[in-house]
Amino acid sequence: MKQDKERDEVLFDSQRKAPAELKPDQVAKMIKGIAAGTVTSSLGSSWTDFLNLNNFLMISLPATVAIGLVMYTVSISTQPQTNSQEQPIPNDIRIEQHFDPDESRQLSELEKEQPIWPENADLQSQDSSKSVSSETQDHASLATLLAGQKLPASLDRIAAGQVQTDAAAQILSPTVAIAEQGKETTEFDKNPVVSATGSTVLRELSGAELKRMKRGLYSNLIEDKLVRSKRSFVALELRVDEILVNERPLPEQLFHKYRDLTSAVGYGPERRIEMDGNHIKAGDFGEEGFNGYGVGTWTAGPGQHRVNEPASALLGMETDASDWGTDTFDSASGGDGHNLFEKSEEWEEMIDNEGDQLRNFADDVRKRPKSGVVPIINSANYNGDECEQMHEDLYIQLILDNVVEGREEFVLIELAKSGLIINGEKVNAELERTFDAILKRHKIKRGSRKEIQLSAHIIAIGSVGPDHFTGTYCLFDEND
Amino acid sequence: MADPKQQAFLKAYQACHEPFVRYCSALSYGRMDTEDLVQDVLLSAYSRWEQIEQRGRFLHYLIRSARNRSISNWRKRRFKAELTERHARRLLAQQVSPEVLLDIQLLYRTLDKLPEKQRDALVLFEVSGFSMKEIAEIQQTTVGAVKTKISRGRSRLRELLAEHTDSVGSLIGSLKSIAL
Repeated sequence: MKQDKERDEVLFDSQRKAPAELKPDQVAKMIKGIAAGTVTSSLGSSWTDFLNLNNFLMISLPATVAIGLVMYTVSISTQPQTNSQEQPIPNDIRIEQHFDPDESRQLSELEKEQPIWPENADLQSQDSSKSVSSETQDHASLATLLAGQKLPASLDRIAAGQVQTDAAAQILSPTVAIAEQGKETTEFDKNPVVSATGSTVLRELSGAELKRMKRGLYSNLIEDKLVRSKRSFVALELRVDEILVNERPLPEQLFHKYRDLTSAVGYGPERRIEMDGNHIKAGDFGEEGFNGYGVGTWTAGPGQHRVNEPASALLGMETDASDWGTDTFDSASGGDGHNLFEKSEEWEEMIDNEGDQLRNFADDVRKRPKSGVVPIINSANYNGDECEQMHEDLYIQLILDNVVEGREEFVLIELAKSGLIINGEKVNAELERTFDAILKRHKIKRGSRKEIQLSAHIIAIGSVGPDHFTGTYCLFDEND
Repeated sequence: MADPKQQAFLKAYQACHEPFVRYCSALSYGRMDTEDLVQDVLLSAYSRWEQIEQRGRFLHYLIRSARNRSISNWRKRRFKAELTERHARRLLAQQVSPEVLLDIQLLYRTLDKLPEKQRDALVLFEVSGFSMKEIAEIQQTTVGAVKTKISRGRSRLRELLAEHTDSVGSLIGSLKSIAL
């Protein structure tokens, strides 16, 4: 130790005795150069130092995104101007900016009473009892020409200034709003085709489109504190002049945003979007049942099995509207209820049977002996959400890899260290890698006695002994 | 006729030269040119000369400025042999013997392996010759904390030097056995 101490002291002594690296006159010259303004920061050094991949990406990526956004915005804003059906707009067209709420309410009734205008209708033949002035007819016909499609007779009232909030004008006839301002005022459906019932015609919605809409809606609903989570059940009633979220009308400041978000679905007296963590349905929920598009899984009613259909397959699907429970926003607690699916005796019996069948199935296909002792199986605890996510991930992968055809089939995954065994068959290396990634994501470690049992409403992760199961056993339905 | 600002700046700097350059040498060793660091700090100080209130403590300002630059990105640069060579050439030009030069290089290289705060305190104390109190002021901490850093830094430095001696010793031993 003495020697070490001497060593470091010797080194410091040597350093102290030696002159400083730079002489005073060198630094004085430097200072004079600085004062003369001939010296620049040396830490900046060469400009070539900035030529690296990081800087290149930091500059080029945001620039590309910004340019793309600008080009996209420009293309969207110029689209209507390139419509060959558009005609020059006379300067005298204008919409007055006062609002009579009674008129707005009467609108849907009028739409029901009056026929849809035929294309290129002769406006002079309109009954004078409808109080349509010739000027109004001109406006409406121009609007029709601009839209290039059918418009309800009620729209002439908007053009005449009888229904005049911006919102109402934009909802009912964006083309009239265009006529007024000479440019687009909203981003939602520019030319809604309105049926005799007062609803816009529901166009075909793809699964991807619905999923995108669901994500957007949940993100905004949570941000606006209208729901708590992405699993909360939400019913959006898309009426002509208002939107109800779980039976509560949206405040005016949020109306436009949600009208925009749901523009693909349109609006109407029976037009709704229903969604929860597992599905989204959009369409008309009338007395005859649901008519629209949906994607995901949901329960059609107590005792009925889940359905998981592609979006297009649900068009025209009829279900008893009474089977669909309603969900109300509990304003007192600030939460949202989940009364959609009351657990009935039928459900209890069904899940008991399913559990028995799953156990029997696992016993039949299990390759490895049941564990004699109860080992510590999992390092992580799984809550309901994690279980459901795991269930979803595993089933999706199993279906994608053609291991099973659907969630109706039982699955036993034996998590042997030597290799994964699914339903009694050892999987190939590629499949094993895929499942390993899922297991890793959910923090499931393999072990000699570990296994996962899956059925439509059950996931069990753990070890099975001669007469016991140790691990996580999770039952769930759409409303958990 | 020299600029009054320049005159004042040169006068203030004169008293700081030795400890400041030594500190910069230890700090920049192998990672950047000491001259570049000194120049950059002086450029910054000169441009802010009017705003520097405590000119009596100009050295503290220069040291803090150099340290802040060491914390910024250039400390992440790789150790470059050409910079150590440049350092060696400058000292040899000032008639420093090769043995002393080797000692200094070993010291700087070993100091570079210390944790940043320990190295900083030790360099200020041993190389630049600041008192504990002054270091506490520069580092904006307590004297007790500075003592701790210096003590731990010195212990670690000794350990590293002992390891270095052992490794050199074993290398010499193995070379001897090969020669025999």
